[in-house]
Amino acid sequence: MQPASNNIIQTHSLSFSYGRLNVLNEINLEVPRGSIFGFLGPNGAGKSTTIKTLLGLLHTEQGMIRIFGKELNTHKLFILERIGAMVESPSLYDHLNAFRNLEITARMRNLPFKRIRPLLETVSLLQDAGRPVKQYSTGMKQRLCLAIALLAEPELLILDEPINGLDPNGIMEMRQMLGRINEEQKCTILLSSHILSEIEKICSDVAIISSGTLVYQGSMLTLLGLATGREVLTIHVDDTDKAKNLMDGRFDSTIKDQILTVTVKDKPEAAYIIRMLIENGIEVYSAERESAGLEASFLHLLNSSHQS
Amino acid sequence: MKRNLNTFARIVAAETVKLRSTFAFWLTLFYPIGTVLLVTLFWVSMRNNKSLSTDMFINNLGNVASFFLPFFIVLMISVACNTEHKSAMLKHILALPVPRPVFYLGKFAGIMVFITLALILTLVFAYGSLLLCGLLYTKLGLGATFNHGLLLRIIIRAYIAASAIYTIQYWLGMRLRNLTLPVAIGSALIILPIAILIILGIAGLINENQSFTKIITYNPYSYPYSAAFNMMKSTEITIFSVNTYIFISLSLAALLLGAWDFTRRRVY
Repeated sequence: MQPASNNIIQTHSLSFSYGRLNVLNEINLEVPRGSIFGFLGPNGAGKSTTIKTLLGLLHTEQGMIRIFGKELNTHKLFILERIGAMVESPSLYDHLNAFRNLEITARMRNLPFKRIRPLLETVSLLQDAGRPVKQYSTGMKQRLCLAIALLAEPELLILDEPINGLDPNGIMEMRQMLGRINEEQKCTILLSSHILSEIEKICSDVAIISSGTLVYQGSMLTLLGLATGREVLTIHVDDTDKAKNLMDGRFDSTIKDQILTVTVKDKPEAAYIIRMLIENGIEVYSAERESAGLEASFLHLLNSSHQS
Repeated sequence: MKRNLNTFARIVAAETVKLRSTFAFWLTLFYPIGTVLLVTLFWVSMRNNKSLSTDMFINNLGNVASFFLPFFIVLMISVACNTEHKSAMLKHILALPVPRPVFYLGKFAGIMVFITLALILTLVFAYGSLLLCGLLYTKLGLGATFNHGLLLRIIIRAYIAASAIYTIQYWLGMRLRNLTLPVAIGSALIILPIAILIILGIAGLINENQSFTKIITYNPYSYPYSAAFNMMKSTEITIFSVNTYIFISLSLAALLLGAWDFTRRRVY
């Protein structure tokens, strides 16, 4: 008999490849029961592939997946009955309205239709429930997908990029909703995202994946602790590629939208970096220093993993 | 087993909800309306013919229905399968606690509900048309000698002859993500014997039609034609013949192979 575990999801040496391309490399994921678990990683790191293997959409070639203490390969239906999921982009029948979309899932899962109305109310879609989904905004579609995932009152909610494409208001609504679900229904939530600020606000535990390898797993507080005393320097330069080359191997840095972001220890280090850029013929238009949060820890871990 | 049957029934019901107000649903109405309308126009134009009999109406209906049936099935099934691919719904559905083969078979059964509806509507519209024609010209009406059995046999036979098309097209539709490819493959297979017939005609070899017979014998998409035009040497119009068992066996084989393929498929 297996000892009772506090982890609702547990994978052991989970590996997966698309042909010769190795996408997941010996992942040992442990998602604590009752947590809101953030699954972070840059695009193409293997977040969606991990989620698809957890849901049995992709058959694992190596390793073991255990959910609710049972092996996925042998207890797939038992496990899926207790899971609500949302995989990648909103999957909905565009020509049908919200009520019909929920009805289809309710029929397939053998659930009572009386759950549909309160759920539409929870996700603030009751007013628009009669309109075809193709007329919905991205935020409304995401909320409807969440309602579909919640229909079975799951013990575990797996959400792949649930805040993708949402405006700030939509992101805030989604965050509040997930918090409420976790608290009121005692539902464990695993959500993947690359929007770090949101993960930082909502998640109690976190795992970071990079190039198919798990580089961090633990509580959010511990992760934030990794960045204590560090700061983020945001620099607007004329040649970001040249600036990035200068940083590589010396500082944790990334480029996004022509802005160079560097993690620094203190003021003198920030001054040193700016001076170095200017001395190497790079025009510095602006530079801003902020105290570091999850972003700095994330960059630090990613760069450490690349260097090793 | 009981649980799987229950799930199967629920998937069939869900499928009927899904297909409402899609093009697949409208096709289910257009096909019988179009078929009966064409035959009725011909029937009315024949009103002055002295040797007019309602068997002529029935045989014409059988031929026209058999000619358009493969096109209807190819389009209808491809559109119905595409509802799953269009919004990446397979990812959502296969993450539900539903065994994959049960979903595959349940969805097929759901589509067959609409195809059966088309069969019933063809019969209803045929009777409706004759009743209406009878009001306008008495001799074009149903009459006491109307052969109800022949009408039933001829329509049901066409649908049975198409049984391999249902399952092969369904397999193609579920396998291929876009709509164009399964429709193109299906249409090409339907048109193939007609194209060969035209080529033989142009080459002056229309009497040496062995190759044509071969094509329609080995191409499941030609079975409704071959059944309608008696190409497979059956002497009388019956629903069940040796050919019927060939059609159904091939259909079952394609359905089971499709279900097996779907079960082991990776959903990216």
